[in-house]
Amino acid sequence: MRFRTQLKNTRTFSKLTASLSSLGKVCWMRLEHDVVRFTIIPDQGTQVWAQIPVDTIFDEDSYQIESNSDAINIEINVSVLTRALRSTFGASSSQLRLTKKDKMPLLALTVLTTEWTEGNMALATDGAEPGQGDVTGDRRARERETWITQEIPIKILHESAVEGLHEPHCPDPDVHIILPGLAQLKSISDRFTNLASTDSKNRQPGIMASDGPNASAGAGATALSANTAPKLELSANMHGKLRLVIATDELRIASVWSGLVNPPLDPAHISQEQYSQLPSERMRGVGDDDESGWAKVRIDGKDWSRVLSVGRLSPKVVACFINEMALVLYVYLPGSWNGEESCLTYYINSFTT
Amino acid sequence: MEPLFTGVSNNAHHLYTLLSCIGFASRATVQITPDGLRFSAEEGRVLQGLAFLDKSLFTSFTFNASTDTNQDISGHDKEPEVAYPHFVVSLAALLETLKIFGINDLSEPNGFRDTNLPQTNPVSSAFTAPALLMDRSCTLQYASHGAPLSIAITEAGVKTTCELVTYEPEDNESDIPLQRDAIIMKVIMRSAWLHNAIGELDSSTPIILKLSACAKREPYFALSGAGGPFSESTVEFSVDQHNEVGPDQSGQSQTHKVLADDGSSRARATRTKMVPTVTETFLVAPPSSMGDRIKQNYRFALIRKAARAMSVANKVSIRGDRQGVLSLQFMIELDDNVPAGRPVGAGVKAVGPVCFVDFRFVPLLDEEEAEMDVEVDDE
Repeated sequence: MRFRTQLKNTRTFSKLTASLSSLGKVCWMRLEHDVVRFTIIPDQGTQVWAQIPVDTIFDEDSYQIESNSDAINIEINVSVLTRALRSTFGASSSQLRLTKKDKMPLLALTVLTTEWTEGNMALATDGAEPGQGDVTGDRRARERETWITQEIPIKILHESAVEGLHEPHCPDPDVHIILPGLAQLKSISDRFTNLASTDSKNRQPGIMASDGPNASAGAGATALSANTAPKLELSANMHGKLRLVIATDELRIASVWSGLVNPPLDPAHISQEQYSQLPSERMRGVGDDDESGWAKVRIDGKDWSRVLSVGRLSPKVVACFINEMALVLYVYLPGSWNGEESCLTYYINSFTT
Repeated sequence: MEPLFTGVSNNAHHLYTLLSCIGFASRATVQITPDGLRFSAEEGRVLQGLAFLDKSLFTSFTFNASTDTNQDISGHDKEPEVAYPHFVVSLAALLETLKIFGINDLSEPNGFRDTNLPQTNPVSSAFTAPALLMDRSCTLQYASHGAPLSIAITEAGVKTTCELVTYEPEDNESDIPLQRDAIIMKVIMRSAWLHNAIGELDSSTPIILKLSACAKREPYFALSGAGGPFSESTVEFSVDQHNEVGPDQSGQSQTHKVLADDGSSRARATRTKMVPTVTETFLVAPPSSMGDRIKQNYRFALIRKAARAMSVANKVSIRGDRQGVLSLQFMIELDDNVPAGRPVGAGVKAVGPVCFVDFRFVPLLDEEEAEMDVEVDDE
């Protein structure tokens, strides 16, 4: 089993792993000949399945992989990988390879940095008379090379350990829409979530006080409300509108985006007849102001915020709403020629009311 | 039906600045009057913060007063005896909603946001194109008695609506009374001086703020923090003997003065007994029963809640009445950066409006009471 490659676009790579690490630490990384897959399936919350063409983050010419099963499955702590990748910024070359140390498998990240040292350092100017022309040759800048190797402990997963893992299967979406800028969406979502949580925090003393003799009931209610993080209600229609709502006892706040794009599905995959039967086409037929034309999901505000951290890659995101059931986000990285190939898919379950 | 009240503002930041001063409480009582909105927040009946959003802060202010009659108007000494809408809303939620304004500015430089550079205030950034601010507005609306207070904010492409549930105010809710005819102390100075002094004292985590003022002897005006785990500390506003007193500052004669005479035209002959250098007005006239020095104690934790107002205000007027009720009135000059880029109607000056935020504190009667209060606080 061999794996060795030069890295390229290390900033993209590190932003990618940073976004992934917000959802979970344990990442299944699958190296294949053409693509690299990253999968995070946390105990609860959103799972993400990412598929990146090798040449997006690795140098194709130096990419070597040898394995009996044509793929290497690695379990890696993705936040450790993110930290390691930070040392590659500004490096002149960086290499990732699979290796072993005391029978423990490792990913070794080797980074070569070249620094220009200032010529007039104390060492270089030693003995030189300042201001004399003939010694300037000794004072020229020097290049200094530094090799850094970081070892990231990993687990090799046998093919049998991963064959039971499949991407979730979802019904056809009711509404598909391109999300507005994720940074903006995230800041508004975060604000909503804060609003709802500070609101319930402020309310709790009130509950306790008013329930004076009934203290045990009050404490129960407090514990309950602490467990249930605020739920955002996200909905969209096929007329380019996206709505974000949070409601508590004290307030109801809603933001509505309009003029967004409902992208057409690729007609190559489906016949015209099937096309007209898609739930999204039925939803498109419903009027703009009709509430039944909206597909709605209820999601955990904190989890949603972690998902939106992928915005740092400034991707294009298509959100697919399956009414009252799930939200699937297709996150396409910028600069990927073929969106089909480089895609992160987030599966978010909807909470029931 | 026409809504009871509609106000449109082009500068939600101003509203936010004023309301955040009284943001120490999670809820505020709102009263809609023909002149503006009066927000009042209180804590335990011993601290009250009042922010008045003058109607001049709104580009359009429509209030149909007569429709609402079944209002409780008790306890408003200076309000006219007309039933104005009066309700309680979540102040925390209102502030948070107003903050959503301008969020687009933060997200505009897409792709560069990963750098951990501190974000400057988006509204006042030098790189903000004023044209972008034009299509923003913030509408406050109260449709009818018992309806939610709704705040609608529109920015390019996004419309945010927040409906705050309105609650009936408690019947016995009333302002902390400040006896305007029995003011025995009035000190006006730059708010920053007070803010620094309180900040300085705060570092020793005191429980009681002791205020001491005297027109005759040093210390003329001193604030001390006491009762904390550390020793007592005092900030004294001293008299700088070497500096000339500016023409706008009022001298204070050594003799007992009545308040009506602010002494501004007094000859400089009495300069040896000057007022603290930082004060613009310094009038202390205790009743004879108190001696010549005014001493009052206040809960430090309560005073600290006015810190936000101290930091944004230009000037503060510190007043105390005969019963020891302390009033801090803050004058806030709102910067008008945002609408300055907009075409402003003729006759409207580009200078930001001046607004006032009031805090009132009930004094501690003696130290035993302070300690009792603290025990209650710690449970």
